[in-house]
Amino acid sequence: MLTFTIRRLLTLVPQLLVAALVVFVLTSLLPGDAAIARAGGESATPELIAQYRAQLGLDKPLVERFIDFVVHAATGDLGISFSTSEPVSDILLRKVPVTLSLVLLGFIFAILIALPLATIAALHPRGIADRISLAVATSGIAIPNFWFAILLVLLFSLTLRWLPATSYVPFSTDPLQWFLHLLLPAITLGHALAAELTRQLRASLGDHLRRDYVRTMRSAGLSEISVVGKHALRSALGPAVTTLGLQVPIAIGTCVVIEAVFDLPGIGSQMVQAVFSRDIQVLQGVILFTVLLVVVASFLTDLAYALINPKVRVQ
Amino acid sequence: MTRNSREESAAPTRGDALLRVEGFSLDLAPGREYLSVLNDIDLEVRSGEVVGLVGESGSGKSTLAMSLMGLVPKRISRQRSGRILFNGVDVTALRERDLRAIRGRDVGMIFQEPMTALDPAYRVGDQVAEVIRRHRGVSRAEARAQVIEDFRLVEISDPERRADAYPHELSGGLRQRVCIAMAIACRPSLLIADEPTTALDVTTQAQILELLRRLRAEMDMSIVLISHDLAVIAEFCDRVLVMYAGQIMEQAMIDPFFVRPRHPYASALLQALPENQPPLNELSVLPGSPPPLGYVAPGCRFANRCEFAQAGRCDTHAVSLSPTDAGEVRCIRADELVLEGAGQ
Amino acid sequence: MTAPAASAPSTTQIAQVSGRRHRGLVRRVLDRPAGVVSIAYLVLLIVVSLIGPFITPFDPNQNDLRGVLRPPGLDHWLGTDDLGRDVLSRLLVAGRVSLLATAQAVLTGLAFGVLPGVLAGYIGGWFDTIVTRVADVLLSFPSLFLALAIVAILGPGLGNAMLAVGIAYAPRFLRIVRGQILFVRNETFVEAAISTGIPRRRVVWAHMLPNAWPALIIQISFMLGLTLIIESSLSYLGLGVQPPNASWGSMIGGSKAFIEIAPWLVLAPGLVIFFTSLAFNTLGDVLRDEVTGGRER
Repeated sequence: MLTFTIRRLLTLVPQLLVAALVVFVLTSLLPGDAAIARAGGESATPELIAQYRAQLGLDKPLVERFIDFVVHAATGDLGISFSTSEPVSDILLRKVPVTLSLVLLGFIFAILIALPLATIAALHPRGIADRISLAVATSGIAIPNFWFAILLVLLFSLTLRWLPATSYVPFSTDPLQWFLHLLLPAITLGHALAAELTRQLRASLGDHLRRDYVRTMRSAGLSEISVVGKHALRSALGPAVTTLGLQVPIAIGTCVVIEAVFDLPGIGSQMVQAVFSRDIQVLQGVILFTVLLVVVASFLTDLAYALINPKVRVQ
Repeated sequence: MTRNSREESAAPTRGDALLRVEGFSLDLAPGREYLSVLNDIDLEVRSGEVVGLVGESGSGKSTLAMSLMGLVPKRISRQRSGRILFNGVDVTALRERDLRAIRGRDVGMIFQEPMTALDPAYRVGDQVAEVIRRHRGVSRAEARAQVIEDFRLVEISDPERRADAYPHELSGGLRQRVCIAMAIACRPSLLIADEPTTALDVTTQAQILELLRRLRAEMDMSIVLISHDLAVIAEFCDRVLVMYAGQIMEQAMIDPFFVRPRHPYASALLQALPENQPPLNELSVLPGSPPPLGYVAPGCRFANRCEFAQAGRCDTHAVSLSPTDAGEVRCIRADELVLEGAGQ
Repeated sequence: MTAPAASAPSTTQIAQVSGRRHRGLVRRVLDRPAGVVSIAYLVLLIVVSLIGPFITPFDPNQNDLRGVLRPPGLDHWLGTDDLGRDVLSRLLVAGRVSLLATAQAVLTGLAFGVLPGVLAGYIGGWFDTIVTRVADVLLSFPSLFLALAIVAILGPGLGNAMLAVGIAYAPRFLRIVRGQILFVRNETFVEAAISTGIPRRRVVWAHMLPNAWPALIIQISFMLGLTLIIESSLSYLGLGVQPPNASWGSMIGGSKAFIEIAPWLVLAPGLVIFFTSLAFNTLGDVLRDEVTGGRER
């Protein structure tokens, strides 16, 4: 298991380098650069722009700039925001906990919805739970998240007045308020993520319940709880864990919209702001951080998969 | 329930019927419609007896094996008639809970595919231990000790190490031994073995059969051995039942059966045995193909492949089992025909 | 090829049989209630969107400051918005914008995905390796993020946004086409076609690519549903369609502030998005069931 972890950990480095290259190329394509922005826009004198360009190292060849970019990024230096002149890393440090909280709670809700639903559905094909699971799987994909979020706000915040509609309270300030403020956003995200998870889990559990070993377990008189919960579900969880890992990018993408609806100060809303103000430096930082998150998530996914499936560890 | 209660409640002496199936018929719905898969099955397994169940694939023999312990999912099946008495209790009328108590404790089962019959996610020793703990309620350590002992019993060398292996780390023969260990862990009075050696190579096949023979003698179990291979049945069983298209065609003691089968289908099967083929001669093969699942004919179900079939006689009325010297046969012409057996 | 001669007729048969099967696909989809309902809804929607601008009861961009935020009634069936514009009229016109944008993104995805997919599958080797690696990297970005990044480069606007979404989709189409081409590359009927002297290029397009169509059509159906959601999300954020034009998403974004006093402004466009996306997804499900033969459930 340890060698597997280390080997898998080593593959992260090239993955991150490729991602950094993509982000670098993408932002280098942008018309205008940091120097122009720093010098005060397109109207600045060419001398001033050139001066900033030298100061920011933008006059160096591309390869050297890329190396600079990687070295700086690796040491936590992501440049300075054009619009607020704040270090991008500071902005990220402030906003990331919000998004991470949301993503974490969203996944918990997704699992809480998908696991029981898919299990009952797989045990009773064509039953009520099966129909509900199909409805969740379809609606989670077909309902626009922002609209679903607005409906939740309309019902639970504006009409019933049970839950706050907007803003964020840090966990360290007040855990209960943190949870209450994130509840509706997390349900929205959870509903979206549960769709694929339910569909996948329902299919793979159904598949495993037809396997020979389930027949063996049943023929040995084991209880259904053990046959399904301990044996079939454990193997069916393997692909489900992979699905969860693949959904991390989707979850972060969904956060953009959800944070906008609920006015949460996370990296999603930060990204929208950056797009509007064309703050390339912030955009770069946000994307890079997201990629890091996605890559780490896929690493954790593989690790979890190896824990569940003993065969993987050997290979 | 504990192991003791079984011994008190049912201790049939040798020769009594341990398992008796009476007029059992079952429909299955693999798709939308129900198909008749088992038709009017009668069968009896006496205490300590080894009964062979032979037939081509699709004859219903595996479904019958699953039905014996209520393992055919209720969702896709429908019992039309009959009952299955195990130790005098009708298992078709039992609640799932009570069935589960019998499975694995009083009746062990082993299946064809040792490759997939064990959960790949758990160590094999833990899987066997789980069954022991489920039926005996013993501690982890006791169950573990029992697993090691059972592994020795089924001739797994180095049992401590093998118990900690995952299924994919073991060979097919070893896995089948683990499955056997699991099936006999609670010392059942009946073992149902569904093609236990089919997926194994010839040498392993012989070893597994030898092991089953030894266990049967030591533990005084009854065994129902299901196979498509008459050679295996011949070597191992006291009595044989021949199934075709969901019906029992012939039922006889093994020795008279081999010398003088009473049903044309049984005769054809015997003549198709490889050791029965004279060298360099054309293989005798049964013409036609096995009937599809749910096949029903107005007359004898074998008539369309039978070389002795008589139009107007064999294809008009359903045939029932009639007694013979050595058992029973389902053939209208049984008394007129003198059929060839295995030429020993 | 060293395959035994006996297998040759059977493989060509499979190709013929599958060809025949596809002709019956439309009929079989229409035989399913879910299939016929989704198709009927989508056809109706497309017709309405085409003639929408001519049948609107009011001018969709006509402000009426004396009649703002009117609830649904006899005059205005779906009420009016904060500028007094008729919601039904705007919905009809916006539908065209949303559907065209959706189609644009999927066509972009096909344009960028199919050819590289064919080449990667057919040529193989290092070319295949590079193409699939790039596709994998693209797939690991959230497609909405990629769209946002490209919008940031090219500026807000629906055309740019949909170009971005299309590029984000290309890898999915690429994978399907590549897989299918790889699958049939060594099939006997392909060998046979090449040996009869048909130009290789024609063999690829006329004989190999058609095998990918069923899988592609299924994917297109799902992608249309997903794109509609992404388009409406971007427009909701204000990064897609720009005022005074409207898409269903921007109609929701523009009226979020009035949700408490005028919920119909949010409900109507949202329901239309939901139903449309549902129809695309259901159609995809039905197609998949019918193509793969039998339902998985």
